[in-house]
Amino acid sequence: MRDRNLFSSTITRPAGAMMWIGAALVLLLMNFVFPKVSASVRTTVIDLLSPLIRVAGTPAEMAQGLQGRFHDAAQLRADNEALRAEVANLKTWAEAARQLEDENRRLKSFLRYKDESVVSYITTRAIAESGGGFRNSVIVTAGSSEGVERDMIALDENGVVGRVIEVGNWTARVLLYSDLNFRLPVTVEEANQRAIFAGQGRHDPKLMFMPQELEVKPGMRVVTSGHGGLFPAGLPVGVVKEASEGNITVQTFGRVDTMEMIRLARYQLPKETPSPDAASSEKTPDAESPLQKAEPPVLKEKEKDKEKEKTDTPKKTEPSTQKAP
Amino acid sequence: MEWLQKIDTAVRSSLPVALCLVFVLLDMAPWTSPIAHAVLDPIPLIILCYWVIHRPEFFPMSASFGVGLLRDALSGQFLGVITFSYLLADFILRSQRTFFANQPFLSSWMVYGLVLTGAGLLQWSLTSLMEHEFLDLVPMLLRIAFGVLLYPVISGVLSWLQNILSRG
Repeated sequence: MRDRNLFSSTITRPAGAMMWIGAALVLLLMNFVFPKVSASVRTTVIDLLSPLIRVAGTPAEMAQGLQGRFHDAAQLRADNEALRAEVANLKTWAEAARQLEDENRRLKSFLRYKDESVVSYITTRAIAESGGGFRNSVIVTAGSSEGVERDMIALDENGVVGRVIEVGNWTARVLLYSDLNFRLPVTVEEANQRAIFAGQGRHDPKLMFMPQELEVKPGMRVVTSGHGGLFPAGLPVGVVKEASEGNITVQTFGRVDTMEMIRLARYQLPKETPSPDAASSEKTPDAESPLQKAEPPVLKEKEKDKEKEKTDTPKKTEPSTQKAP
Repeated sequence: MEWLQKIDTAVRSSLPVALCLVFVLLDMAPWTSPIAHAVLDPIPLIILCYWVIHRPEFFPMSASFGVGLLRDALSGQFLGVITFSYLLADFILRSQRTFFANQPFLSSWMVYGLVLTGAGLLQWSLTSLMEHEFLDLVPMLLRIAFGVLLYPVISGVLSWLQNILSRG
């Protein structure tokens, strides 16, 4: 008895083979003639298969967990010492950042500068990556139903790792900075120069459209410039690694080979420009500073002590400046 | 009990395609090791080539189309690139399967190496054409090398599986 299978309708004659090959050619042409249809086919397939993709990723997660445990056990002491040194360094930087933030707030108030843009984050998880294909991208478990939109910036705990290029209902595709098609407007902070950050595949990403006469040194920080209004400015991208003539490469903060959790930055520009009179009279509550959120408990205790000292010390009365008649 | 036999037959005959789909999904997993993708990437094509030569009724062209389309969609590439290369490989092997099935192991290994190289270069050419620039060839060559090295192991497992399916 001839075996039957679920695809029993397939024709193996040459005409049937030509039909399937013709269908593949139609798919190829569709990328140019109907690109949106191609994109929607991809996102629909991923949306439908996302539960299976998550299950298939279980062996990779287990392998990653085992690798992490072995690494932790072997590097425990060294990691502890490194973390202690980092905490001590960060405490110093936290105080400096707080002073700078206060000064920034005073200057903005002095200039009546009003930034009504809102940045919020959608935290999601990478469940699949493009594998061995030519496109370096990952699929995340958040889609339009969670508010994900095209061109959102993706970050890991260290910095920018990519941007959203396709959005389905429950999943989205993030193009990584290592892809050849990845482009991002950035600023080299110390040089105050804008450039385009471009992916280079296996090689380090580079900066394009930099003036030749500009002196760029290794170690200069590269951040997003916010041009285009699609994402906020100041997001960490990396540092200049090499700066030879015509070739400036960047050592990125974000890591595309070990990321698991990804944050997508949702950036909303103000919809209406308020009139100057309304701006001066309207009192807007100060947005909560990220430093306040991230403040370590030790520093909070110090602040409480300072406030307590202020309330305990008796107020000194200032000498009267009025002249006697 | 006839319906049990039908279910058994359906499951057995769907196993090759299901195995191919499992490896497509495994290749998509976020492996931290860069070698993992180079190792997993050629396996679906090994499975396709083996079954098209030895048991073509278990791997029809519609399955080759579906697997190729799935890989295109999941990897984010241009739709049709992998699909077209898989269908072309399927057509060539299927049309000459009588000749290939009777070849000794070393010959079939060489044939598979040629098919893998041809499919890989076709994907690279099509993608480079669509991107309007020459893409990096090294990752593709690495996948081809791993695929050729893995063929004896994978074909051995598939041969064992074929014996089990034939017993039914």
